[in-house]
Amino acid sequence: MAGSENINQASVADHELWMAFKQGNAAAFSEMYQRYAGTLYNYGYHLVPDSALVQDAMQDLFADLWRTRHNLSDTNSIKYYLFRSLRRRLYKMADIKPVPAITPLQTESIEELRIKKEEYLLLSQRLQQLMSRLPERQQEVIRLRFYDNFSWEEIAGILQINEQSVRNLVQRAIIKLREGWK
Amino acid sequence: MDYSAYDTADFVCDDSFVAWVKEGRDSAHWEQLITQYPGKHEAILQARAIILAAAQLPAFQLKEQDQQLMWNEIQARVETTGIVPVAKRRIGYWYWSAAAVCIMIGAALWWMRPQEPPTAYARLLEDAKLEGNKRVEEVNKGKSIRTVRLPDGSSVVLQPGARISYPVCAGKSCKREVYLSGAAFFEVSRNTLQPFVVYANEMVINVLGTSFHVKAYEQDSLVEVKVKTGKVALSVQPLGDKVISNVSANQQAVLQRKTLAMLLQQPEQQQKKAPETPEAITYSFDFNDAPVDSVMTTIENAYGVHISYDKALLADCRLTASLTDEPLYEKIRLICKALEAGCIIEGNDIKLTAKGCRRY
Repeated sequence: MAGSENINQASVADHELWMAFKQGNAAAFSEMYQRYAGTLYNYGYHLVPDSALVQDAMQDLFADLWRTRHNLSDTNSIKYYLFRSLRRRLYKMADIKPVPAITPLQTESIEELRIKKEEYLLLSQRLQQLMSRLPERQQEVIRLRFYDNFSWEEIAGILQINEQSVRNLVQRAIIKLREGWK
Repeated sequence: MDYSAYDTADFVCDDSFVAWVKEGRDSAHWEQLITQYPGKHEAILQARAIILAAAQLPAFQLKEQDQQLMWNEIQARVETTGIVPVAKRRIGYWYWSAAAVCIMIGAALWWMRPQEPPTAYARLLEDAKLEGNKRVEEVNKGKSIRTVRLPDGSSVVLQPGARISYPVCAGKSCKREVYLSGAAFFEVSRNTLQPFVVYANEMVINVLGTSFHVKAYEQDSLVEVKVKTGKVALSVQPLGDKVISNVSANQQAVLQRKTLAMLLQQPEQQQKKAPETPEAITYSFDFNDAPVDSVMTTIENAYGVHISYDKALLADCRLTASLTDEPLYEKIRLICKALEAGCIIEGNDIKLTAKGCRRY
């Protein structure tokens, strides 16, 4: 498939990085952290809008990774591995309350967008607002697929559900998003 | 592949469709599909908009400082558990190559920091190795528009605050390259042998003889290109030389700088309201039996120049000319030719010496 080239390229680098890390290479460990801390934090914060908690979970995650590196299995996607682990950890750490509709940053970007009165931005903004009102799981799937570029299979793995259920979540989300055109 | 049963959700779920929307892959296939299934046009547009909106969802940024503090904490925890620090062990090839990669990536990240000087513009000049003495810089420090003539005869109307640089160069082999910060209207003289390229933040505009408006402010999250006549080919610098989008007359392309996503808009999708400051792009230069003084006023307003001529002498003269696709200086030359007048251009002052005009 056309889309897979890129992903393979990334995963070759990921694979080598992971192997080096497992062999106790500190530079590889640091590189892993630098590469994924930002996107991991963004994902975690969407699950639990509590900055301190997400940061704690990430610290635990990386410290444990180093401690248990000898026992870890191989992976071609570190990002996938990290997302899945963080999600599990966050759900364990807090009795997680469903994410309130994401507002804080949303408003900032709406402010920013308001200046450009271009119609497509209005549409995009309207769609993003609709996305923020979707049920939590639907939001998460949309975000993982199009923002974080995971495959359907990986998303199923992260959410611990089967691929068909992931697609069903998307189908339902699209029905609501199409209201953006009404 | 039969798409007749596809709806919006099917397109959204189709991996190769997503790859087209986000990375421009297989564009021939999908563009053909649009013509092949006119009934799917709406579903495709909807799917595309949904994917792009999701790809540009606002993100929660981890502050650089927090990221560093967390890393310190992780290292502290790792140390106290009695792990032998790696540096004391046999230092292998992998360590050094990985370290080199880290340094390179670190340097790249540091270098690509979006904020603060060096600005996007300064960085472009640095990349092009155009130090102060190797380039000409024009800045519009005034409150009204200002027109600049480029060595090849093209004209650039600078909005207040806009600046451009181009290489100092003599002779015919000069590269036609312009680096822009701010908003400007370009009218490029035709020369198929020597491409004309505008670098505006991340956007690279390859011009094929045409006129267009560019808006690329340092602080804006978008770069906009609006084409008036002709055609331009756009690429995005961090993504390489590949042409992402072709923009034709009356179309507009918008680049989201953060995500590097490009959106192409047809005329009907664009804002109808006139902008606060009329830009050169909004003027029409198709004159049909127009009085000379109205032609002159149009040009004065569009380019912020002053034209002096004997008004009484030319009061009855009329002009029919289509000058839309010509740079300012070419317009003036053609007008002078039509009026059989002499023309002198000195900066923003243009002097016409006419002998009156022929009556028909």
